[in-house]
Amino acid sequence: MRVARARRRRRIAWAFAVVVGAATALALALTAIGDGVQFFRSPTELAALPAQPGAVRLGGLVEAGSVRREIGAEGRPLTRFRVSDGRTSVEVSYGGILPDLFREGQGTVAVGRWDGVRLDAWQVLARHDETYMPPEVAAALKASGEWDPAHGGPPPARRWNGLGDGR
Amino acid sequence: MAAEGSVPEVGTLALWSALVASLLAAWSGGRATPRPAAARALAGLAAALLTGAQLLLAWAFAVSDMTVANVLDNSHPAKPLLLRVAGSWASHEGSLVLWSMMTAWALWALARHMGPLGEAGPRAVSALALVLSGFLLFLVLTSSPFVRVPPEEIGPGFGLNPILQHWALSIHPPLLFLGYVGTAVSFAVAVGALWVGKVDRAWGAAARPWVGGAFVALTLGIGLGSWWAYEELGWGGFWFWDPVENASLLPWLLTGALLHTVAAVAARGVLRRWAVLLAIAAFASAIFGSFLVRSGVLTSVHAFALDPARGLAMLALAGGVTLAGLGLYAWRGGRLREGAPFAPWSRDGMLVANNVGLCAVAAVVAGGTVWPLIVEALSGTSLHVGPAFYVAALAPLALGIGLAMGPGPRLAWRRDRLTRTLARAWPLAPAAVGAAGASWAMGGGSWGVLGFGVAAWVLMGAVLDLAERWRTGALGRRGVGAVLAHAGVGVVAVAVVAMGLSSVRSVVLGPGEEVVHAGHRWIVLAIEDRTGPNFLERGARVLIVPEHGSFGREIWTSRRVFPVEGQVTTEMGSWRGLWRDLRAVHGGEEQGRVLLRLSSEPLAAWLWMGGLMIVIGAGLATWPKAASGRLCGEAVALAPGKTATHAGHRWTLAAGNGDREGWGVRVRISPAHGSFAVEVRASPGRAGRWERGWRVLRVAPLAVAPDGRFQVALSVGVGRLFQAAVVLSLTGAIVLAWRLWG
Repeated sequence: MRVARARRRRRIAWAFAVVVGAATALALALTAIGDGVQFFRSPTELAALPAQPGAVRLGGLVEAGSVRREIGAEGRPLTRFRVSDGRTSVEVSYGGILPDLFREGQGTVAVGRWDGVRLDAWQVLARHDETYMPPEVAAALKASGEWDPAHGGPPPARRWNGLGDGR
Repeated sequence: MAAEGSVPEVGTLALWSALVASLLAAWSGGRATPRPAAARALAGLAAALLTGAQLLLAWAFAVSDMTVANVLDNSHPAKPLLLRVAGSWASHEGSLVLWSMMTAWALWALARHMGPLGEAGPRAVSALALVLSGFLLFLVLTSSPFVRVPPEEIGPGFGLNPILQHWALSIHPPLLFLGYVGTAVSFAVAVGALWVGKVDRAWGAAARPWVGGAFVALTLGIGLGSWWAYEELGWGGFWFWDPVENASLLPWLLTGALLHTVAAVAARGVLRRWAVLLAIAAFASAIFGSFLVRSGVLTSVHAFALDPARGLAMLALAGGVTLAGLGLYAWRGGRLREGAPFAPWSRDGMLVANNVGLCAVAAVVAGGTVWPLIVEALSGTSLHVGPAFYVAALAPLALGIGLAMGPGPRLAWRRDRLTRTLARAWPLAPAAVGAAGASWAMGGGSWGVLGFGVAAWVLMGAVLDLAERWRTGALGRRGVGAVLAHAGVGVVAVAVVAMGLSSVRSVVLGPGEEVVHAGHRWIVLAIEDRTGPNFLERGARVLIVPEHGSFGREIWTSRRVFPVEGQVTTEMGSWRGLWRDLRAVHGGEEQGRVLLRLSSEPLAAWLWMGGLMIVIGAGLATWPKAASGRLCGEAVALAPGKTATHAGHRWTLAAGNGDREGWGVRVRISPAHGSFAVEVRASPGRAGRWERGWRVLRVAPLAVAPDGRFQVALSVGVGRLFQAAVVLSLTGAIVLAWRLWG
């Protein structure tokens, strides 16, 4: 009798601990999800949007010939470039040091604030592996109709900049 | 010619043979009457075969055998030898071979030391052998590294990503794999206990070293990866909440929780079912994590592209293992008996709090990692969960875990009183308030104040624990280990909070120009070219001098060009110190002036020191006792003059004497069909050995039974002669191979 009651009490305590743990994790996750979520946009989507309150993640290809390095206030470096999905391109400005694999004509992902005209990026990513295409960039290319996976692999990097011309 | 041509074929044969050996080992350990000796021998065979396969693959990389597709895709003759060899486990196929080899080693170790697990031992071996067989099947059917290249495609090799050419990255994956293998062993040990339907204190004690080993290897692997990211990428920060990093964090969190639960099982017999469930969850998280990473489902800077067939096979493997574990739990878990109940305010209760906290952290990390997948599947919207989410969601949980860590280890088992805790643990409060106040006075933000406060609370908890163990004479090896590991967590917490206060600045400087940043003058001395073994580099020599000091340090930061791979990497320059790291990163050149990212990272060194403390502490706390660690074979109780038969020998207790203080036995060993005998002596902590040719026969004393009989463990192992023969033949084989192929 006492054993049975103790067992039941223990089960209740366990259920309680699990519920508390799960509820805490869930509550924290739900309150925090607003802070951390960055929506991915292709250049075509972003260009159509007004200024955004939160962080935006822009994926596409760095337009060839668009990268300009400047020296801003207090000797700070500033880089401007355009990110394209073959149909639309969007201007990005970035005040930090670009990753090694950042190249014109290569895929990139820029994270920053969109003011309706320009993306003020605080993070620019290129991949560790230069033969690897980030899914976001691939998605942007597919969405703009520049790459149909049914007809083989992605277009070679050297052609990316010229995509969409003549249309 | 024939010898050179057959390396990949021999490798394939070794993989298939290892699969057969592993399946047979699973059967030997799993049949109605298990055959431990056969399982042990087969496990050893599988380990030897897979070691051979790994060596053959490494050989193919070392000599740049470009007829092997894996070598062609991942190596280049121009790379330094050590990096070529390390390249043998950098690819998907190679890493699977390495994983299998380590699992086979672990299988062999488990088979040799299954004694303490009792009945569950052979079952655990069988379970691990089944896991190994599953991975080997995956390996030989979909991912063999020994596939030949069609002759027309043979070329000079496609190299390896230069950014991955770093010694830490050569050993980081093997260590992480070792940790994953460790979770597989914990899983097998839990499944073995479920199989026989018995989890008790002895099981807890027997499982602890395996769980501890997994935790240590995972900590080292994650720590090295993080250190590499900090040192090599140079972006500041050591953890980026990248999905791949998260995937390795999950098994670490769950294994850390399991480590504490297993300790509770060993000490008190509580939380038995939970321990089993946690072991299953830890392994499941490890393989699902690997699946997410390897399949390319997740967007990550580390992602590998993998073809869908392999992804599907891996998913099937992960799902199969997890379902098998959970199914066995559903079927047999009800049989497990729980230990005595405990009050919430007790050491047991605090361990539950630790587990709830760590599992909640794991749940948040897992949720954040798969959230983009769920959203994309449901609504087609693509999004990314950034670090801000993890920081906001995990900081309160981390603070909670830290609060429990302060007084937790000093509470009494089963039940304790709050007033007693207050009387013993009151110094926690002034330490925490003092640190928080100091941080506030120096202008830290709210997270900084809270973080330093809780870190001081944890550190003071470790100090109190140490003092009390010292006073009561309970400062054994395990105690020191636990205190050290907890102090390490405190040190890591200090570093994590401090590194949030790092200061960064990007500047453009020409030769001779300087800038003041973080209390130091940064002077560019020169911009110049240099040549390396397989790269060319152009960079800047930067002199860092404290503003109010006279001595400084010259550092070199550059951009390297690797002509073979056609890639560029950045080499960071840094002045490391106990209190801060000063770092400069080369960001390219602009009209004869160099772009530099200057940063000061306070207390960065503490992060790695704290990590090392956790590793050493966890190792000390979980390493098995010397006597039981060497045990395998059979435990028997013998009265003087009585004989036991084990492994084809007759073991007679010639004499035994002593009491609790000190005792010893003399055992006469003779072959079952022989006329001669040898007598060995054994006393606690000192096993008796008879080197008999290829084998060694061991007598390890366990205890004096109340009825005056002596409990000893009898075992047979690989003798020194055999070990010497193995070393000699391996050396001979290497020399021979060198002469033949070199």
